[in-house]
Amino acid sequence: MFFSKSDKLLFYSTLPLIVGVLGILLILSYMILSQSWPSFQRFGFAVLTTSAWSPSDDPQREFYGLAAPIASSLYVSILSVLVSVPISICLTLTLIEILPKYLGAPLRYVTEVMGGLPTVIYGLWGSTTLAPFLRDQVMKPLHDYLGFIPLFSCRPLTGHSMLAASITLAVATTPYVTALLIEGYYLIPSKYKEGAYSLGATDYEAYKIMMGILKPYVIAASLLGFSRALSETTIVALTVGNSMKLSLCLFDPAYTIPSLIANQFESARLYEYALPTLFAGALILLLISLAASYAGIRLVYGWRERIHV
Amino acid sequence: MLEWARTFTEIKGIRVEYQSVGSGAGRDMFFNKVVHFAGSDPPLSKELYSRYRGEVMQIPVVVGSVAIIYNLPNLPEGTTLCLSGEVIALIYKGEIRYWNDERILAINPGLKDVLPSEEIVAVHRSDSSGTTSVFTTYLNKAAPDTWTSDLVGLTVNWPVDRVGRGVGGKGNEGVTQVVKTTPYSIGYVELSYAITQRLPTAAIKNLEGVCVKPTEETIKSALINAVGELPQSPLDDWSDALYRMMNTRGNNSYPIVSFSYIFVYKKYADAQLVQALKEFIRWILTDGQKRMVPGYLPLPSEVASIGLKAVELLEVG
Repeated sequence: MFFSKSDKLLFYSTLPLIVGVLGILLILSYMILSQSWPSFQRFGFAVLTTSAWSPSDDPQREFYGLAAPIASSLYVSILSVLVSVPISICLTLTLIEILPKYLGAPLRYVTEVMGGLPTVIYGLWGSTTLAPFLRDQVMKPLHDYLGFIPLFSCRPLTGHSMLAASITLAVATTPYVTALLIEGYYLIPSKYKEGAYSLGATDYEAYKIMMGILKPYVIAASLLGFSRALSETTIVALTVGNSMKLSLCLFDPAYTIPSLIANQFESARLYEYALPTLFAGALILLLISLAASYAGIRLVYGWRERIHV
Repeated sequence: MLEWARTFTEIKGIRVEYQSVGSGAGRDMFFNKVVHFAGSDPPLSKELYSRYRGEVMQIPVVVGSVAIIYNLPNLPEGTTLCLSGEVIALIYKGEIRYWNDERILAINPGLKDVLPSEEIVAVHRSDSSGTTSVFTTYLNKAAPDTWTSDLVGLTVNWPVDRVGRGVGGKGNEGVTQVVKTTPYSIGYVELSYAITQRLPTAAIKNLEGVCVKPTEETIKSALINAVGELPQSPLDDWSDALYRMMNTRGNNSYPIVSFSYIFVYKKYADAQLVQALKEFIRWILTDGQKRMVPGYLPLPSEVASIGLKAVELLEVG
């Protein structure tokens, strides 16, 4: 296997790192499983199907249920992906193809820099500026005129709601998804675009073809963006309203699992089953996130092979 | 407490380090012996007290209070909103829905044309909080049939959340911010926040039926009436003290008052630490009482002397 002594040395010196990375993932999973086990033991599946957060000094009277945070986590993340992916697609095309080079290149840098901003900045902006704005300009009119639709049927209270969290999340994850899509766009071999133009396609038709080729990649980028949104803590904790409520209505406050953990972790060790329940929430989050990321990455690899045929 | 730690360090040269982390985390660190002493708003519960009986001392160090803040844009300057414990309990249970509900109007007949027909947004704490514990203990004492004892604690399953009119804010700052930016909302915060943020506070109907606002006189009056029912030693069970201090007699008494405590162990292995702690506690209960942050009040001398017993009881071991 090795051509020379230095090859062998290279392999063995990097082996611990590889093992270490896998090891960390395994240790992490094991720790989350074992820490959350007391909660499953005590509440059984009720911890996943009911919604409550009632700590008590008496361990027998404690009762927790994660149904609302789990469902709202998924709801908020899916919503944010639905908002950010179309914007990212348009942004990608604009930056790469439509804008002249001297505009497109610097704006690309700006987008990537925005992707690197600490999310707490987005969270603070969302909480102090976006949420009140949304409440007065968007939520109240929607509730007054279209209140019969279940999505708008609840009264907007403070603006801190699933909608505010989703939109702030979308703003925060758009740079990430856009960067992914731009990367994917450049991965497409130029022969496809050249082929399109040589057959007489207009710019618009050529872009349509390119986007068609990119489709699996767009799905993959959506899944990765979804995974990102799911695990986002600061933004959500500041904008989602932090209320144990399960509802379809966009204007209702809610809890997501990361925001529940952020809010309740401090005091969780005072009670017997609070910390295990938070770990149970983390476990669910881990499973969903792993599944989404795995699917996304599989799609990307499969796609890369196909376009190079 | 931060101020005290800093000042004591400067004056005496004995370093006291204090971090503000919230009653829950603080207690956790104290019981895990990560820190030497902890500050807490609520005293130890009965279960915790019996578990650590004889090992832990609770020392009341300052008098605090919880204020009810609200945001009613069309209430004219200078008018006072008065609420009773029963009404506040019903609001946080979700059973009183509008500001111009007859039960609120019954206490405030002069505000008949001013209270709007808007839904009340009830703001509470989303994190584990001593302030919540004080507030819910008061509601349980003032309206035991409405606000039952399972709704008392550091974290509560708020009934008003389930009807969609409850919002959680993180920390006193969070609640303040939510109330400030949400018209027709009501919330509860530590009195010091209401004072420094200049928020309108509601007057509460006390046991004698008089509407009182939280001021130095009204809180002092409440304490004077409560002193007789307090435990006499730091080693005693203070879990009921909070309940007994609420809604006391006296025409001029504010119904929601509480102590803030520090917890110390009775024995420490390090002799120098014991000496330093004795100095610190003695200083807090004597000189420290003269340096108060706005919104907190010094202890009545009878209560300070109970705390001073801890200085004698601390020993090396």
